[in-house]
Order: sequence, then C-alpha cells, then structure tokens
Amino acid sequence: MSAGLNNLKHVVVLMMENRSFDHMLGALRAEDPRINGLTGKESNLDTSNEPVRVSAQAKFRSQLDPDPDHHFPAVHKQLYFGTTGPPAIPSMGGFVQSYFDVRKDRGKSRNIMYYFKTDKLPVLHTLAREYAVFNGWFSSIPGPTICNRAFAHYGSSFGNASMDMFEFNRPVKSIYERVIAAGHTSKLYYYDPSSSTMEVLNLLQNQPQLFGTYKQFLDDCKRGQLPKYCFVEPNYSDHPGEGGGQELASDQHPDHDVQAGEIFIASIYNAIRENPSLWQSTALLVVYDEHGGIYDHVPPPSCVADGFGATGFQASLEDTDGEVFKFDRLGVRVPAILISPWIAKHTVVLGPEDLAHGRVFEHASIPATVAKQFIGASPNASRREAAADTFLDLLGDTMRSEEDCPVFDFA
Amino acid sequence: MASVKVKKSGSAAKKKAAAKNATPKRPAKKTEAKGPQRIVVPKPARGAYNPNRPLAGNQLLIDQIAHFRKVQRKVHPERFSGMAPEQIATEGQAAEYIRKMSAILHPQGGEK
Repeated sequence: MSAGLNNLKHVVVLMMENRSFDHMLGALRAEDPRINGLTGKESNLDTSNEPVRVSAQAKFRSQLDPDPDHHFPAVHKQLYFGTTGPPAIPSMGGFVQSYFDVRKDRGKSRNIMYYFKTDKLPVLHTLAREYAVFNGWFSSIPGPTICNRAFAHYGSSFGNASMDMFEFNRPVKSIYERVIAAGHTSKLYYYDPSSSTMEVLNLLQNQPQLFGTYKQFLDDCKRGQLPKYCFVEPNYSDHPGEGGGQELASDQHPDHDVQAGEIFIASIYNAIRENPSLWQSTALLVVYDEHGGIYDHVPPPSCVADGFGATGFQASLEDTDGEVFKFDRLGVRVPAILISPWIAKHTVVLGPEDLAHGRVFEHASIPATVAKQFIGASPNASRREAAADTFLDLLGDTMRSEEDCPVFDFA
Repeated sequence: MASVKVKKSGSAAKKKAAAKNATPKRPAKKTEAKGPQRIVVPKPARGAYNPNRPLAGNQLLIDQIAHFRKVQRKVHPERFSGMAPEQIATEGQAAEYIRKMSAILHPQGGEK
C-alpha cells in the first residue's frame, strides 16, 4: 500500500452536471498530447449534410438554451447516427442532428460542437494539469441525470434509464448506508434548501439524517470533521440567498453560467486545501454526471450487464431502432479529475485509446472505490460495482509540497 | 502570458517551467514569490443571475419538482408547501417550492 493510501482518511466526490469531456477538457490535447481531447478535425454532419467541425467557441452561457436533449432516445441518436445501431461501434455522429431536433435551427444546432479554450476554464484546466485527469471516465448510462447519479450512490440504477423514480428497499444499499453500517461516517451535502438534492425519492425522503448543506461542508472542513466519505451537490438554480443576495446556479447544467460552477469547484478544493491535515488525508474527485447532449468523440465501450430489467425504460422502440437496453454499455465520456497532494503533477490516466494499458471508469467506480478503501468489498454490491475499476491506486508514495499545490483566489 | 490569470509571474520561472515541460507544452504559471501558485478565478458577468429564467428550459429542475411532488402526494399529503407545483413557471419559483419541501423533509438543512 502506498504512503498516500496509508494516510487517506477522507474521500470527497463533487458531481457536476451535463458537460462532456471534449466540451470542457478537449482543448488540453493541444498542450499535452496524452490527453485524449480534440485535434480540431472532429466533425458531425448537420441536417443539410454539411460537416460541422468542433470549434473553440464555447461561451459561459446563452449557447445551449434550450437544454440539449440527453434522454435515452436522443443519446441513442447522438451515438449511433448513420450506423445500424448496437452492437455496432458508436459513430459519435448524431450530436448536431439531435440538437437540431431541439432547436429547429440549423445554425444553432452547430453550437453542440463548441468547446472551451484553455484560457476560459482556469479552475478545471488547472486541476486537470496539476493532478490526475481521466481519459476514460464514462457516464454509467447513455441517458439523463437521475439514473446516472444513482450509479454513484448505489452502483446501479435498478433497471432505470430515465429521470423517473425508483423504489426504495432495493437489495443494494447506498454507499452512505454501507459506510455508516461499518461504523464510519458518511454524508451527502446539498447546496442549500432552495437547491436541495437530486436524491429526493429515496434518501432525502427516507433517510434525511444522511444530509448536510454546503455551509456545513465548509464548517466540517474548517473544523477537521469531514466524514469518511461524502458527496457534494452543486446549486441547481438561480435564487435569492437565505440572508439576502443572489445565489447563482453552480451546477454548470446548460444554460447555467459555467463560471459560477468554476467558483464552486474552486471553493470545494480550497476548503480542503486550506486545512493542512485535511489536505494531506483527503482525495477529491471532481466528476460530471453525464454529457448533457454535448459532443464527445470517444465511443463509449461495452460493460458488464447490470442484471436489472429496464423497468423504468421510457424510450420507444421506434426511437431506438427496436433495441432493448440491457445496461451493458456505458454512456458518453465526462470530465473526471482526482485531486490529492499524493498524486504526481500532470498525471493522465489513459483510457480506451490505449488498448494495452487503458482503463475505463464509470460512476459505479465511486462506491466500488469507497467500499474497497474503507469497508471492504460489499457482498451484495451490484454487478456493475463489483466489476468497476477503482482509482485510489493513483495516490503514490510522495507527498507534494505546500508550494507545489495551487490555491484559488476569487476576483 | 499564461493562459490562466495569476497574481504574479516571472520570466525566470516561466523559462524554468517551459524547460521542464518541453513536451508536452504547458502554459507557464509559476510565481516568483514563495508559497503556492495562486490562480485567480473570474466572477461571472453581470446579468448572469436570472431567477426568471423559464423553467421549461431546464428539464432537470422540472424532474426535481416532479419528485418532490410525488413525495408530497404519497408521504406528506397533509403537509403541503402552500404552492401549486403545476403553476411554477420560472427557476426562482421552482427554488421557492423546493425550499419549502426541503424544510418539510429535512428541517436540519435550515439550521445555521
């Protein structure tokens, strides 16, 4: 076991909303060819069969309104346009066509191919350069938020590929319940009561004691009382603050302001970074739940079938070429960065582009990693969790100095 | 200049960083002063705050409201939020409904 793992006492996961890897991090390939981002030549056909190349024109807001469709049928089109569908390798060729279905405007449909220049996202790009960026972290399902986030909480969505509710009292307990049952502490921190959580129907309704707020997260960091494992949710809406003022949505969900999300990510990092003992004993994972309908060039790989029936599957057979989804392939690739002073600078975790050494992660990797580190493998973990790769081996034997790890200041 | 705005930057440090990272190329961002590199995070532009943004543009919030509504109907029919969820039209109104429902399900969230 590495010295970094020996020192590890806390794992924090911050899950943002609806941005693809290439959209947020694709530009970094120009400065580090190991990062599987964009060459600038990737393209999709628009509805007039004109090729639309990726372009570094992404703005912080106003380009993706209304929200690109990212429910199962739309993602199916984004992945398999121009192919016969599964088991063919996804073409990644239907993003512009899919966004046209929403915008009904050929020019605006091209916005889905835009990505951020390196000078646009100082927080995410700095963290990717300074710590470990994953080339092969995929959303768990080619579908929307709730079912993807469920994989982070449970290692499964219990047969759900939609935004619908799923019932409580499943055989697989959440990772929070399992960590607590093993005698440790665990929490989900939502931003504030006006934003709340996306885990309404199971955990908030049935186990509110698992929850805290962002303010409590900051206090817990300051006092050195962070739980063994915690999950942080951003602010999902623009709304008045509790004591006045304005709270900007920080989830980066289109069309929310991406810079507000940058500030939020930086605040979570700083809260850990500025408590020296916490910084040395914590691993922070920043990851996005799914791609939000935005272009990425890497075809998602297949995976172990989940073993649950698609009871919540809402896609019509017509929309998906008659396919019955068996939860045996992953969703679109998302940004993921692991942060710790025990991680070597400029670490790039290779993905499917490296056939020999590449690694594939998905959101079931989160409960799999937490369980492995703190409580041992769960005997009734989901199939996907049992098969998922874990990521704490990235913590090495050498702790980087105080001077070697950046801090964020707010303008 | 580095691609990221930093408080201080020196040419010697830039050269050192460039040499160290000849391949791959990386922006030089080291500061001359002792202590960690400090990255300045810009503020969102004025006008970014928009609680009147139409709810119809955000399926995530629509679904979150639907989930709270199911809880309201199934578990707490007697404890209404005092708002009609079907009449929510903006993000700010959605936040107000969610705040009231959160207060019912998780009163600890309102504690200072």
